[in-house]
Amino acid sequence: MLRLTLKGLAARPLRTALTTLAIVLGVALVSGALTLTDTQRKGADALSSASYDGTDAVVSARTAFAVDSSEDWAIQKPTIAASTLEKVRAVPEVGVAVGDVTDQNAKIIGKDGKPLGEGPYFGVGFDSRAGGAQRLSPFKLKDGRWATGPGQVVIDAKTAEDEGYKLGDRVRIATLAGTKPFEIVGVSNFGEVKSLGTATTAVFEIETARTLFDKGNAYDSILVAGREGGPSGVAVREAVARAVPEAQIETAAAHDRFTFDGLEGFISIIRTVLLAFGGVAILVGALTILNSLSITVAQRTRELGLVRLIGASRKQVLSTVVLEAFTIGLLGSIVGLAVGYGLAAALSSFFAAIGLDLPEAGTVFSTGTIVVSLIVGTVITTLAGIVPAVRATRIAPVTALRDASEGTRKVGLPGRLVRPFVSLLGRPAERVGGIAGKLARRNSLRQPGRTAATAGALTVGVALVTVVAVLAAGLRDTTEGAAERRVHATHVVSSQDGWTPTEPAIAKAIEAAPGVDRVTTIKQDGARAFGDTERVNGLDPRTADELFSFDYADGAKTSVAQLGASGAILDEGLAKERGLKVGDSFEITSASGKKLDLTVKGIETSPVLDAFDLGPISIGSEAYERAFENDRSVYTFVDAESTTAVENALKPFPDSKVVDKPQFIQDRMEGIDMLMAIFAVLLALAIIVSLFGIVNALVLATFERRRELGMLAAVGMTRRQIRRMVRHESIVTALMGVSTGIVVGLALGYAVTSALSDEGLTFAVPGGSLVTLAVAGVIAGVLAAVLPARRASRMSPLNALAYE
Amino acid sequence: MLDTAPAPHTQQDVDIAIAARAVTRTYGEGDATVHALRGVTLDVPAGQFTAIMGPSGSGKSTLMHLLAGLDRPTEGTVHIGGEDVTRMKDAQLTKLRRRHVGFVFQAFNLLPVLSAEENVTLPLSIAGRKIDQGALGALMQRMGLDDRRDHRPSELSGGQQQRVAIARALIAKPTVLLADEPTGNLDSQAGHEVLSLLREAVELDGQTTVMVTHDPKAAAAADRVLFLNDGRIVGDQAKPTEAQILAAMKELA
Repeated sequence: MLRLTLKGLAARPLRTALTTLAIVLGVALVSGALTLTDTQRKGADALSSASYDGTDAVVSARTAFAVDSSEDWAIQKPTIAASTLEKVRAVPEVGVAVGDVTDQNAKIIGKDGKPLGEGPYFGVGFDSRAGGAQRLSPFKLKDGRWATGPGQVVIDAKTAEDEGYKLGDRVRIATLAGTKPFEIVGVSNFGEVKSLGTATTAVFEIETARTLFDKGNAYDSILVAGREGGPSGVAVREAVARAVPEAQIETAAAHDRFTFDGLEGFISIIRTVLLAFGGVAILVGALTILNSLSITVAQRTRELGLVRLIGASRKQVLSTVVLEAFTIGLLGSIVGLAVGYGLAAALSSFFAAIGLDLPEAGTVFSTGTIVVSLIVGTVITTLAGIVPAVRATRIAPVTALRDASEGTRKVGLPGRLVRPFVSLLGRPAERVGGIAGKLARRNSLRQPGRTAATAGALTVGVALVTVVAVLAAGLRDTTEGAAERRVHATHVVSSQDGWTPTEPAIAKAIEAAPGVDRVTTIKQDGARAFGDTERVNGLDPRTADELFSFDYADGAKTSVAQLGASGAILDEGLAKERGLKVGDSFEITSASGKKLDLTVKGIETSPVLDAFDLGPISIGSEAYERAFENDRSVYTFVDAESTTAVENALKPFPDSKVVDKPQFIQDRMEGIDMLMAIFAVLLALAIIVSLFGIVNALVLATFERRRELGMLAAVGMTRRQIRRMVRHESIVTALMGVSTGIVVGLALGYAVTSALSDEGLTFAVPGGSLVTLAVAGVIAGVLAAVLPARRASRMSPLNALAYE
Repeated sequence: MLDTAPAPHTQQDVDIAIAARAVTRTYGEGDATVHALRGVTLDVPAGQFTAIMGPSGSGKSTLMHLLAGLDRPTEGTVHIGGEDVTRMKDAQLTKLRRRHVGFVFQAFNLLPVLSAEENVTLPLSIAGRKIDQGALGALMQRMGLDDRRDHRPSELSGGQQQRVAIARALIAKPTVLLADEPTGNLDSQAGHEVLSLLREAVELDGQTTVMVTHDPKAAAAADRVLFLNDGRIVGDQAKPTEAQILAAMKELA
């Protein structure tokens, strides 16, 4: 029986290939996702060990609660006094200890006057004169020397290369102390790589860095390495902890000053998203295979009947079909694995192209990836083969003696739904295509069950795309509407990249500028509230209301002006979660341990995807300044006579830009648009998989109808007309899948948005996207028909004369 | 009684529907070469009912393919309706068949998705020609299909299906109607009906008809019977009786 199965597959190479392709893409996505993220993790790990391995302990000021430097980026960590360094150096187990500054506010200004890189913008203080300090730093001099005084800087090799900077060149760098020129005295690598992803790095002499980043007589942390030949790791940390019990002692990886955890999180997101889409592709692929095998079984009715007639048992018939599915699954999985390897490489270059590259670390093609991919692809495909296999066992031996006639099988519900669709969708085809269109429409009704199953695979993909489009339109409407209502300012000032906070001097400079009426800022830091870390917004009660306001929940309306010294506005979600109402009191603690007693004055409602990305707790500037140290502004709202008036005030600040309100709102939408575009592209892959189903069904139909096609050619149908006939049938099937997909997707989208209406999400029909989908469906149908149409048009008219 | 000197009709006073000159057709190459036709010269006069007979492998099917414009000769020339098809490309042949050839197949070859009437008008639809409702009605009536116009082929008997096929072959008024074993799939009653209808088309419309058959009874309905063997015309009889045909066949075997 095995030989019969394999011979059967080999005898129909095209059909086997088409069926196999359906599962290849899904497996490729899964194995690609695993390979890509394994490789990325290896790269991230390599960076992490290059950065942290030489350091036995990091001493920093104790925070009131654990601060994750990647996640709680808004939190300004407290500094550690310089005096602690002396105490640490006195510990006998300590070989080297240096004060370190690793800030993220050093923007190297490029030759075009704009900051380079897309962040983080590392500004580092390195004490090159302390003996053995190199052990504690990931920065390795590639060229030149370390900075030894003010006005000198070492920049990363990537920036130097990209911008063509040489030793001795002068470069401007924007820091908390304004924008100043520095002489490039050296170029550094980060471990083995030129730079850390999209980050730029400026390494200053340690004293210079303390001034530039406003550290006073303190450091961000103290890096410690044990004595050569002496104890290391835990022993060093314990010894240091005994000497400075007031400080926090961690490993370098736990302290994570280069925020590698964020990178890990990012890699996990990529993995999850790619695996999810791989799952969708495999599901659609399985449907397609189920359909293809059903057709094959229907077609081989006589052959299978004959096998039964000469004594094969039902079990044997079942196993041939299941074996066929298994073989296809295994074949597809092996090919998918190979394609996935290529996909991982392609995605790597894609990430590199958009600046998210990691150090070269040979592709990680793990056994786990191979095993998971092969099992998933093979098992799912084999499962898909069970339905047609069971159907095959129902073929009676006597069938071999009868004429197998089509259309005798009972038509299921999906099949019955086909008729109205085809009637509707086929009319235009008939009008445009004449007799070819008419035959196409009738042909798609011949086996409604098959047409329904073929279109069904497409329905799944399109429905998912539609749901995403509905959610995107809803989110966009909600977010855009909220932004429109909340911003009253004429202009908004931000850093060049739009998201890093700006220095306080900028708001002051704008305030003083002619042609500017009003200015207000929103600052952000993080605090412990109700046992969680939450972001806190600081607004200025004197100026906020006229430039920015919240949407308030019913009965909880207030204004920023009412906040005073201890008032707070809470996000509705947080208020509900904690059972807080207007008038209730609560306490928050800043990272440095300062406590604030606050009273709820109002409750605001932010959309699910808040374009402003504000924290859930908003307080007045008086309270903010009492507890928080982060004095940079995430937003600076301005009422000005003209954009030029603000631009003039911003001239001394290269890392700043001003946009008018409409532009600001559009910029805020970019994130949502980008997110949805990525989803749409990945889901489009699922649609491509289902196209193979259409191709397969058409190829099979062409084979079944070869006698008819021969007759049509004999009575004068041109090849072009025959191709059109096949194409129209394909388009009708594709449109059926697309239109049912859109209907199902809209219904699902409506259900989801209704369920989330509490979050302020509205249901919106994404007209443009749906039209695009419909057009894509027609194009998909045309593309799917290319191969089968060519085969059909080459059918010899002599087929009509041949008879078995 | 076999006429050993196959004399093609060359009279200039009769229109020639199909003219074949020294036609050979070989398949394959080298040792595997099959000589299906080894030099056939033949005129099919307009308005005549010609039958082609011969044992299996005699080349009668190949000859019919050439006469129908479905295939091109290896050597020699074929003219259909005065057009030289010898060097025609596939697309030209297709258009030529639209103008000049009607087909009746052994297996009927109706489209199951079309009604009887739609099957009949199919050649006109394909060619983008107008349907003359009057002519269509008359034709359906003549074929005894008046009350079957909206039936699908699966709802028709074999004889009815073949009558639909004959109507489909006649609707475009082709230069020549080619019938390939038209009675091969029918019982004797239905077969008789089909032959009568073909004969009627010859008598009433002067429809040139070429029929390939191995059934002497069917061949006896023709005006002229050609006998093929080993790729050559080996006999040519005018209006032979069934008995004469049987005798000729016996001689060939």
